[in-house]
Amino acid sequence: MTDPQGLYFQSVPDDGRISVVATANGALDYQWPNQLTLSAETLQSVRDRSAQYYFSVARHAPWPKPPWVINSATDADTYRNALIWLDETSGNTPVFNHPRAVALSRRDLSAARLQGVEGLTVPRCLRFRLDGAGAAPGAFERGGFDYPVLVRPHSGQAGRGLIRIDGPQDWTRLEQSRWFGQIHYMIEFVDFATEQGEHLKCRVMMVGGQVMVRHVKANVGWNVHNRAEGSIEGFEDRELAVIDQLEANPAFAHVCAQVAARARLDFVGMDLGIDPQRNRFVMFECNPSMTVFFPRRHNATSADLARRDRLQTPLDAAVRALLAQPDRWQSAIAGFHEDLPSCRDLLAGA
Amino acid sequence: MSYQNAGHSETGKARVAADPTLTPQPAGLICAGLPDDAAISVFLDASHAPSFHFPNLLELPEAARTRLESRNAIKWFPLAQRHDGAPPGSAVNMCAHLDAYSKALTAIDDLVGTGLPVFNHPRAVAMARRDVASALLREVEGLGIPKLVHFAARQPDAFEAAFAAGKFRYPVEVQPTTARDRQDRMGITGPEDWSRLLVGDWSRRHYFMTQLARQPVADALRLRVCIVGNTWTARAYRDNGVAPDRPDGLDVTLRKAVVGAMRQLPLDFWSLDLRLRPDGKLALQDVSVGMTAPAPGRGLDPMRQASIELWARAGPQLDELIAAPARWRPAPPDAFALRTILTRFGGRQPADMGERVLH
Repeated sequence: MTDPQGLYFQSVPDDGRISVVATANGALDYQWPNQLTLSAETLQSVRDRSAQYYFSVARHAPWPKPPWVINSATDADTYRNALIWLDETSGNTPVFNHPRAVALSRRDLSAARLQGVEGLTVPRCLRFRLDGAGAAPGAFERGGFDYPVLVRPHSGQAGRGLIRIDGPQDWTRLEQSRWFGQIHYMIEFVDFATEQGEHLKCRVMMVGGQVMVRHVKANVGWNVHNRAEGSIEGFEDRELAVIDQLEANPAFAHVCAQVAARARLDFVGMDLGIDPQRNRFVMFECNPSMTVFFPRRHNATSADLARRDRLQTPLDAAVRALLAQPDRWQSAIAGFHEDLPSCRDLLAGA
Repeated sequence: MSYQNAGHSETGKARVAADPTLTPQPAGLICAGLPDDAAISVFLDASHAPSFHFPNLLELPEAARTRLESRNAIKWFPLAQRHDGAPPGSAVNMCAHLDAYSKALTAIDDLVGTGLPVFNHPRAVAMARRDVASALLREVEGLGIPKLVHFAARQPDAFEAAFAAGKFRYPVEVQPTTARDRQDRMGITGPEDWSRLLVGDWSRRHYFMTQLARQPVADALRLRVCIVGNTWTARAYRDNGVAPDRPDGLDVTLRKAVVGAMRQLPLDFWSLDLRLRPDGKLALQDVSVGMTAPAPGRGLDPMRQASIELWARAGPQLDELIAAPARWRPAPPDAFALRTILTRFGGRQPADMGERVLH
């Protein structure tokens, strides 16, 4: 490669813990939580022209002053220390998914920042530690919530640990949580059912000014996830048509453009409830840690491959193109550092 | 395994094993494990690269570990796929704690059973969990077993509930079962102390609660015993650093206690922590599979200093023992199969505990 070598920034999680699984061939696969996820091909192309840099509070190498940095520490609850350090160390160096923008994507900060986006309902969100029987009811009072609310641990994804509290009688359910003691989020519940009684959940990715819907899932209930109970059978046959409609919908495009402008991230995803016929959109979360690239399965059907070509391949190409152009990154735009508070201020007291 | 199948030739010729003494021994297996909660620690080494720490895996001297790994294949349990190869000739089990590796130990036990030499057999590892060992060592002459319960904490009141159910009195000591450092032990002297336990990841762990003596025992004589095969070595120390004396009769009591414990727990490499009681008995403080090797340094506490001395002595013994599967302790009978112990004593990681979320 002829372009100057940049840096691929990774960090040890604040709690020093990662997961490990055994692969089919007996090797170990170390799984770092809440990182930027890229396709294997794109990751390789990045690694070909960048040096690896690992950070931990206890030990890190001298900063090599690279011309650009790709930040893979993309969750403020998992990598608070790394984000503050990178923010204060990188100066005006262009950083892909700059730590200040990552900090702003923390659920509660993101919900506050996206309030007022035209056409988007953004449920209020409060961060608290579930460390006693009174913690959640206290947060409920403090936040001025009404029932129902959703409560989830910061580390929970794909619906794990997500509990709906419909009334005071439900608070005891949280005391049984395996995540008791951890940071949690309390989120205002907003119903997003369509007139047909379906609950549609969309994941949309925003990269370098482009908006690409990654998937739409459907369920008869409000908790929409892969393989969740109540998934609407046969929806896969309608999914691409719904996505086509969404991507042609000016109201949806307007919402996404506003979100991208406020998020200030180079590659960010948003999960939202959608009711396309009534142009109702309810934000669930908006962050740069979403898993959207999957390896090609050996037993993929032609329909699987067509779906992949439609939904994954263009997104991968767009990310790869943007990664190769640091001068197009948000943090290279004049005024970025003045526009956003420092990570230390954003994550104070976390 | 036949020589014909084990051999390899580019030409496909010259595969005759005329002399049976040339038949290679079946390869051994190093049985490593994935923690039940899949969580491991990561830190950066001196070159700033990630280094991974699996909790409660057996520590071996560098020379023994290098030799072992050069001669044997490593497999990580539970296996992602069924073991289809020929049975291994022997196995070295690296999983050193029932609560941290219940799934891996069960899978290893299922694979090795009682039919081959296994260093630190998974059944023996299960028998060494302190509550199980307490039950097994109760009849050992000269050994006193403090009251102890093993429980899972999922709710804030789990500790007080265990205290009440076990009919304990203050003071008690509470310790995560997988902790290998005395600093992780918390003394509870009254009801006001329970809240001190509710910090960090307290809700995703198993604990031991142990009855403490009414009077502080900071100046008690303590012994750390390291057992390698059929040999054992002890070092005495006091927490306050005062040089330990050798009360009359201690050597005899110690020998009876250690030999009795060795009869009950068929481990190949393990350690015991004991405390001399005023009545002359030795109180069981801890049972560990293997022994933690503390890094040498200045200002080490007396227990760590004792460990360093024991470790230096154990190194050559371990090296020899690991190379001689015929000298390993026999497998415990089926009455002590992993699944049986887990059913009788509990402790399998509850399905809703400790899961590390991946996304």
